[in-house]
Amino acid sequence: MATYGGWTGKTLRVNLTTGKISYEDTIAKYKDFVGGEGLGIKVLWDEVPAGVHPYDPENKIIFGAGPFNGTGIPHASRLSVTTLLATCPYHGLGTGHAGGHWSSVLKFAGWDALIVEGKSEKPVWICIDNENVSIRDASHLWGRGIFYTNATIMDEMGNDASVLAIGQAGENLFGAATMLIDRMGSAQNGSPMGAKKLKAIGVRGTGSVKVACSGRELIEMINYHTYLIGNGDGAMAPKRPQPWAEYTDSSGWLNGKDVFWGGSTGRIYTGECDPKDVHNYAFRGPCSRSGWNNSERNMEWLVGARACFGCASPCKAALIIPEMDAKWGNGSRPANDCGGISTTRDYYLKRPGHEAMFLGSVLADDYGIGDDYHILTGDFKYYYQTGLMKERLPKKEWDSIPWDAMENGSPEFIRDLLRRLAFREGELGYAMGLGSYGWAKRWGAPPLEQQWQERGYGKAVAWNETSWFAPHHFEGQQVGVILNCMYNRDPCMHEQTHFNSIADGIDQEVYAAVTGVESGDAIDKNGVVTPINEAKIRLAVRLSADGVLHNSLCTCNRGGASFHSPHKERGYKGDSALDAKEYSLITGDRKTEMELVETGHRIFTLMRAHTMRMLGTSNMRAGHDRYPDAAFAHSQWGNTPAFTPGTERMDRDDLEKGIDMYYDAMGWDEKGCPKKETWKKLGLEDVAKQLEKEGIL
Amino acid sequence: MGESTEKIMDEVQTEPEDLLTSAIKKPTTRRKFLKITAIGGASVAGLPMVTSLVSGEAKASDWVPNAKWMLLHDANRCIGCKRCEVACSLSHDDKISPNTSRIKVTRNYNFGPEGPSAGAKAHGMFGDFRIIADTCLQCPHPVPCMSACPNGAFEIDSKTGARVINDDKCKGCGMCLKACPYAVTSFDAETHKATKCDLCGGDPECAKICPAGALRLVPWRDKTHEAKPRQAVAAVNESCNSCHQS
Repeated sequence: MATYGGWTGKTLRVNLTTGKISYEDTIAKYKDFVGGEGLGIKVLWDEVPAGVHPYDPENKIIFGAGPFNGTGIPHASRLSVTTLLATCPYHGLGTGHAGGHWSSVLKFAGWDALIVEGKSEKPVWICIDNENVSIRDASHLWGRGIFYTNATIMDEMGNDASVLAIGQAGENLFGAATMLIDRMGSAQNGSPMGAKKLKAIGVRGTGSVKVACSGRELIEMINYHTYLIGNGDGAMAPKRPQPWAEYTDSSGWLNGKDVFWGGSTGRIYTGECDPKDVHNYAFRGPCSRSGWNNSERNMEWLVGARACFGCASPCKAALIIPEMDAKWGNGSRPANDCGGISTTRDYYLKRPGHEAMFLGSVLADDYGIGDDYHILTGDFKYYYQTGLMKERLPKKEWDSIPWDAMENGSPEFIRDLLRRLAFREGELGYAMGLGSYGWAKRWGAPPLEQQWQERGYGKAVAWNETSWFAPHHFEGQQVGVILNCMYNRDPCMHEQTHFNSIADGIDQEVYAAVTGVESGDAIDKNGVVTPINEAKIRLAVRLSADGVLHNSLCTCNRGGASFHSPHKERGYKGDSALDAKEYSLITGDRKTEMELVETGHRIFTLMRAHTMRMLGTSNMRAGHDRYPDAAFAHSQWGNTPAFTPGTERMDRDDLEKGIDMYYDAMGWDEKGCPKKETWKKLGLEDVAKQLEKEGIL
Repeated sequence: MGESTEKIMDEVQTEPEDLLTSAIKKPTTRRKFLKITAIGGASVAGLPMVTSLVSGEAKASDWVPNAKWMLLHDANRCIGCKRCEVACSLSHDDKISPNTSRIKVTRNYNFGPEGPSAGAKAHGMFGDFRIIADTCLQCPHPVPCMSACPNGAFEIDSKTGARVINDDKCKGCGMCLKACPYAVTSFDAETHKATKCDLCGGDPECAKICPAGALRLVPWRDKTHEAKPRQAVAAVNESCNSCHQS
């Protein structure tokens, strides 16, 4: 078997039912699917049949790193956690994505991925100390928070370990539970871990990641990639005017002579942050400031930005608020990205003050509570406002909830609520733990379409009607709607975010010219939707591949370097072949840009095959790829017709035409099923045969 | 300047700086040396007994000059990306390995140097968020790692004064790891060699790649009195070296 750089070559498998620990050859079994999410999808396709529930022992959780993890390539410290989704109505597969350092440490320990199968009878944690792997008792950790779990396991393993853990929410099968890594990254899919009685995975790696190129060559590539990136949220222009900047952007690239990190020893002024000043990359962020209340006023609490392994454009913010330390203890210090810090404030009817927001962030991290990307917060407010909440909750439970604190923005409310959710207390904790879909069904909530008409949720019209997941940074325009239809959860595709956010800052014509899709017609200006065209389809097809590819390599791609850069002398162009260049250099497996894109399509298509299996149909157009009518008839648009400046209303015929064009470009038939030649082209003939055998094709 | 002043100035040299090294540089008796060792030992926290000196008269040739430069890490600017560890191990070892990196962030990342047991006083991501990197202090004479090496593998870089390991002479015995109070020497299990900071010949790769400007090369000064030792240094004696010496 040929050896490559990047991969360690070994994938670990732990069976919690039998206690068996084994490993397999990554290259022989999974190289065609790269790693990370691709590896996870391949395992689920090969080993998990239809009808398995996410909480069954037969479900598997794949903690996948990729060939880029541990190499120091910017943004390449992503972990993909792939399994059957607990809150998806048909339990299609989905991947949780986390940053941090865990995936790199896993590589240093000698492993490309960890497959967890079976179910333990008692709480356990998995200890990976280089090649020594053991299943250890976690009875002392069960029922405890993530912070304590992390400290306890690190004390047992050593100060250089990295810990991934679930909190009480995951233990109690709260559907939207998360896992936390190093206090840096959190991923969905915490509850399937809880179902397996798996509290945590500690990793310690004192080995190395080897690459096919020389160390000097990789350093040069890292520097080149770093040069191309913008801010942590993909922005290519600063928020405030700077002497070097031609454009400004509305994003979180927030620096300036009077912008500072005030929580460190002595204020650190961020300055002008010229994109060529290599020692000031970090001070463009943290971009998560854009998500806070009064972000520019709260700078005195900001200790600084914090980065994942190898990242030069950090998105995470770490804050110490003295008054909260005094009131709530040292454990109340928030550290997270924009969504992680600000999301629990959305359980309030009106934005509460900073104390409630930061306390909610910390408690959610410690309990391991997510909200499926802002869906549960929206449901909660809607059910409260329409009276359904009061109707469905027993009176005693309703009376025990501090609604006054919710109305007046007191932190007591979020403290009370998150405890109920983490421990699944009462009807509210139980129902919300079912996820948005299960909760709505249990309470007999109005149909989704009605909810969308009544809920004033901005422009997030691309909600996938089948998977019940709302889009994440993926709203508006046909490209976003089409891609959101393709997943079993939100696409989590920050590649698209770049197109949305950057267009704010850089001149539209310049911006259009650098998208790498040959035509500026792919991108609409904010607030305007133009009819579908071929350029939009090319963009959607490319992003379909790039999204899963980045989740498999694994990189978060928030830097947006594939398409853009902050440099005027480059015409703001990025490098669309960057992934292929880095892949070839690191692994020694030479691939062109388009060859690697095809690998992305292979992974994307295998995911589709698995979804067809779970739904039992090849008619994906009817059975899966659905969008809500709100795309055409959202109440906020009044009577303004589609394609009129000032509205993002779309047109049904136009969107259906777009789906036809997308299917055709992807090599799928009119029902959204890959054609025979497409399976063959992607090397997935055996997959097609299996679908035939299962009566789906 | 009078004769007495000149004498004082002559004695109060910039280099060597402290009592121990200045005394050893001059010919001395074994008895006097041992006395000074006891004093110096207290100041550098568990300095190992050095075989070559214990076994006979200290010689001027045993003395090594202070380094000219050192690496400083600024915990206020550090974002914890560990790119320094990446660049260090890539440039020296052609692979990525925080373990062999000559600068150490990983082990301090979550809870700081004192680990989870530091409780409310912890640094790192579960503490006060300060990311602390351990860097080689390029210790003054007697250099613990250098003195502990039974194979004479340590040399002084002529340009920077850094204490560096000659890979051809390193036998991988690990005695230098035991001797360093700050635990900034490492062992590469794949090459069976020790690794330590060599200041990259005066142009440190870690500093060049730092996106926050948290690492700088600065003129050397003695920080051994300020840095907190990370480990109790083992007493290295002749019986140890009888096994470890090649």
